[in-house]
Amino acid sequence: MNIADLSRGELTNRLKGPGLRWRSGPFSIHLKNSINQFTDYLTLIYGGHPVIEEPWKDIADFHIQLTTNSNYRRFWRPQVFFQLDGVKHLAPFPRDHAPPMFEWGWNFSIAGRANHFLILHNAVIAKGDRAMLLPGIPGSGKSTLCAAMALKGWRLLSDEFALLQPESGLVFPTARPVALKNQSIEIIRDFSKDALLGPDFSKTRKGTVAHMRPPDASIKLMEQPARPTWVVSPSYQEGQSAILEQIPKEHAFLLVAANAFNYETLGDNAFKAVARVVRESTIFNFRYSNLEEAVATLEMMTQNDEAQQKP
Amino acid sequence: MKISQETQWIVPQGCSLIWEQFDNGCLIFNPLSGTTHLLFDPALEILKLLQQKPMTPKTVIQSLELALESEEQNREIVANVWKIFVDLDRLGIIQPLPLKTTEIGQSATS
Repeated sequence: MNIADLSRGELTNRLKGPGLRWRSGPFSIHLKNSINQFTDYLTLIYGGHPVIEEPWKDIADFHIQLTTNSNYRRFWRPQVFFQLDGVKHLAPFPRDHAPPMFEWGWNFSIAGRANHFLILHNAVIAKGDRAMLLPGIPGSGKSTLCAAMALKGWRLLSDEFALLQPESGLVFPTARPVALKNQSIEIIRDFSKDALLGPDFSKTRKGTVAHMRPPDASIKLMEQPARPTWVVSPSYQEGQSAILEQIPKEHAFLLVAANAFNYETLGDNAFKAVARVVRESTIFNFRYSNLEEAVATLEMMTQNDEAQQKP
Repeated sequence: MKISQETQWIVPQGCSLIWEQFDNGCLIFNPLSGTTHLLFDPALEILKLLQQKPMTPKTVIQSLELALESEEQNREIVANVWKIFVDLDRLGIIQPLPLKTTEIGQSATS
């Protein structure tokens, strides 16, 4: 059963009672929530994710609770709080911003907890079992590009984290929504009629944010890791035609490692994992402005690459 | 510790550097500090030599078999190699070898 298969009443009861558990790639999440508006968001954006039914045999990776004020603030500019394992983290948001609070809080939880992975601040998409990592600073367009590629049939692994398993060298999907910001929201709405976006949340610390539901095909394959094959560092530059420039591997290493949240924590395992990604991938800087052209350029690059690999 | 051109340098004991060689440079992970460094020649060649045995800048130059054509060129190369020693020391991947007791005594009395 998927989250969308639960009636609103059933979903609300679970969230207010024992909580709701579902899988997100290698993680299981246990969520409690008492904010009604958030329930609608969950159905719309996470509707395709499979519910873990009681009795719960395994320990959830993340016990998350969204709570609101219990005092006079319930009536005057109410807030939403993010709790992980019963402890409040992050500054509260306005209560009607519960969805971005949840997404950022969960990102915070993964970044701080999932140290069995080398966590790279990358968007990741895949064609079959061959993954493309998109590292990039905020504003580089990695989420927009990731969303567009996912809408063109690529598998969405994540718009936020490349979860690289040091032992295998594989990246694991979470198939969570793509967080689009500001102009990217309209760009993706215009890009494809298949883009299923949630409501806009304005005046967040990152401007206006909206979330794109992950494609069902990506959710179905969320337990299937992929092998890093291309690393493309995007840079949106107004008026720039799409240009891919290969990066020398020794410099690419620094590009990949610099985007890791827990490189120092994993020590030599992180070094070896990054070295493997760099050795086995083709790595580019990618400047672009037009999204259609960008997607076509990346498609062509990967097709040529695959054609060269064939005997 | 008094450091001079005669001081011998070495990769610290117990520091098993991890190397990843690419076409034009080498990434080195230092497990003692948890830091990663990108090195190019000639620093890379110098580090490889110091990993084998303690050496002074002068013996490194001899080992590299640099063709010296003039006294001026000689001074320039020595200065550059010395600068690389200082940089590698600052990165924490080489260290000066302590002088032997007798040498310390001689230094103190000289």
